[in-house]
Amino acid sequence: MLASISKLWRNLFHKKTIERELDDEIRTYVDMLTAEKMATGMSPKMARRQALMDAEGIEQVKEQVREIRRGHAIEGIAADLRQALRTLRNNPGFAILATLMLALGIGATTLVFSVFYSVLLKPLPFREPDRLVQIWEARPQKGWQQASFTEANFWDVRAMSKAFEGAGAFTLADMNMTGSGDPQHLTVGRVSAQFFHILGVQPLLGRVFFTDEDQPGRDNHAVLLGHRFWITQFGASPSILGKTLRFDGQSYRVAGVLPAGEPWLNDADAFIPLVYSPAASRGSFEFSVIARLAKGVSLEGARSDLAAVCSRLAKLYPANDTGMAIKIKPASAWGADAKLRSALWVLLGAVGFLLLIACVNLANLLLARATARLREITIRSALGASRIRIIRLVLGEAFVVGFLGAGLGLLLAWQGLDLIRAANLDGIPHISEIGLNGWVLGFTLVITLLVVICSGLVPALQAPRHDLAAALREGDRSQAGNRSQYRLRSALVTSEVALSLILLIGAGLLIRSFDKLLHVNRGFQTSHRIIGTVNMPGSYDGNRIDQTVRAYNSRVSSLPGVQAVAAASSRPVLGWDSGMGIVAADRPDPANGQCALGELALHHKRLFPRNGHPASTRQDLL
Amino acid sequence: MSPQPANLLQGTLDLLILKALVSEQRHGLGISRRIEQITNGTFQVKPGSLFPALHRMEEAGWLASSWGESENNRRAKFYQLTKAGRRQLETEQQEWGRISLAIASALKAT
Repeated sequence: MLASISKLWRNLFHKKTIERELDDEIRTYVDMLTAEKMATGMSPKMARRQALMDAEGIEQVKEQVREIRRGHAIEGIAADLRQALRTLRNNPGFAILATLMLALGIGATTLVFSVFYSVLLKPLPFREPDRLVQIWEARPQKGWQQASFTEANFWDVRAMSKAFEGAGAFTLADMNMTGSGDPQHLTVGRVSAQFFHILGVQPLLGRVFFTDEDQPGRDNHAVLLGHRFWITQFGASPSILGKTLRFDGQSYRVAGVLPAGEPWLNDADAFIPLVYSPAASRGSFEFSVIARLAKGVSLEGARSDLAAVCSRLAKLYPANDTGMAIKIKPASAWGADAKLRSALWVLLGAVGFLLLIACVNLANLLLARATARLREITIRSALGASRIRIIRLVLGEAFVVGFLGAGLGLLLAWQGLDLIRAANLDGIPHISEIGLNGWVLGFTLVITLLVVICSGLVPALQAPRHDLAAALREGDRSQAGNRSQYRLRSALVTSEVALSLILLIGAGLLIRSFDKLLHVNRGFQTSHRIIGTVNMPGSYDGNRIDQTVRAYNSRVSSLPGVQAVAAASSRPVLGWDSGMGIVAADRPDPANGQCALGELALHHKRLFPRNGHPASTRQDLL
Repeated sequence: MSPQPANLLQGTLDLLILKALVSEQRHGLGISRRIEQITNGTFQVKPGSLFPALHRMEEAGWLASSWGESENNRRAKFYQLTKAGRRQLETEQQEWGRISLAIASALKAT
């Protein structure tokens, strides 16, 4: 073992000595053979000639000896790479062009794949995610396919259903934090106490809610901090545990700090318990509900169990729950909806085409160079280089270009990731978590190897086979290569043009739809209008809100440059509705409590134009 | 003497080289001539097969080499058997005996 290692060492690092010894050995052999032949009476010249012929080529013999040496493979690869680097240095134009092309292809593919990975492939940061589901209310007869839960229905379904190990509700509320510096506007998650147990989330610090912390009569004033909020607001200080924070005038004790994670965990700055109330609303649909399937219960089993629960609820609360159904979806749908999914596939396909073009381009360049180098390659073969050696020579170049391109491409992707993160794209889940992790790097390595092999093998296999003399003559006659090479190259160029065309058309369509989207008529004007959000504590009643809005409006309208001010409970095209029913005034109590659910915003009636007389209608503003 | 070199199985060449080196150390041409002599000229080993075999067997630890003076005062590389080489010769001889007996009995069968 030691002996073989020392041999390998000698073979790799004392190459000059070894080569000299080999040379000496073979030369002595030929000299001795010559001497033998002279002893039989041949002339020295004739004897030498005969000896050389008997030996069948000194260089070939030496090459054959080299090939059986230990470490020959490593040494050969190192030599190939050195040779490739030398060739590329002598052809900087080719090297730079090919590298940049590949960098673009590999960079784009890596970038898109890293988004693809964190949105679609990365496992959810929760325990046994295949048993996690999300459920929605529905009223198929009214055409509601998927609505949030009402609070009362959540508590009831949780109590009645046997399909789940547990269920948890989640809703967001805007709250003002006071008492620690300037008042701050926070997004606070209100969750039932089991919520984090169902996800299987371990807190970074402290604890999550106790499972009965949502029961009335318990001390319900614990708060869990979200990871980002803990860092930005409290400098990631562990001493925050046990401190008291005031949200909307109520005191909450910090019980724990949650890790970062999507979905849910990054959605709020802080989480407080949703306290059970027997008088909870049956008409306001505002809770996201997750559940963990009990062991051995399938999605189908849960569906039929929930159907039974729904018909019980419909009997118990006909006014609200007639026609109630529950929709169930596995947690795997949390990553991305079908639209985003297909968009990402299309994007991945597009950069795949880009990479393919770069690949074909590289193959073509290598092929052109191999044709131009036909003579050199033929001479190498004549000097004893085996066919495999020639193939490795061409592959070596593809390899060097490939990995230079991959390195540069990773750099591009890294920069691109910063851009994407900075763009802060809403609506793409996990976008804050994208990065160049092990999976992405592995993917890049695999595609780089594929590119190298695909684009290097074609020209490598074009290396001359048998008829060296014919190849030499051909190399003399023309630099453009023979017929089959010509055909191969035009096939490559054709496919390149086709692929580029596909991409161009796709990009053109995309730009066209984007342009249309920019010019779509929204039904109201946006220029010279700004929007601000004011958050009022839940304890404010209608009068107090009215007073506050008035005060705001008169102060804002007196600012220089302001023409008019208006207030509304929600602004147009916000993307969600208030979950409030609409009842017609002439039919105050519709049968079965059925009412339309629509987008409804309460507008503050009075407008305050700068010049003093009130604007007559909403149209003045919108 | 037939000028036609017989096809050498690789194992056979190894065995012949080991055998040629039993009595004393030899250089490349010496080994080649010795093989010719002990096989009554049936096997002529060309350098294209001889030298790769020698280097392979040296790497395997069966042969050791040293530089010395040849009979007509040339600096030549001499090969000799190592202990492992002698063991290998033993094994290969037994193996060869087994095979040749088997082939002989196969040819005798009617």
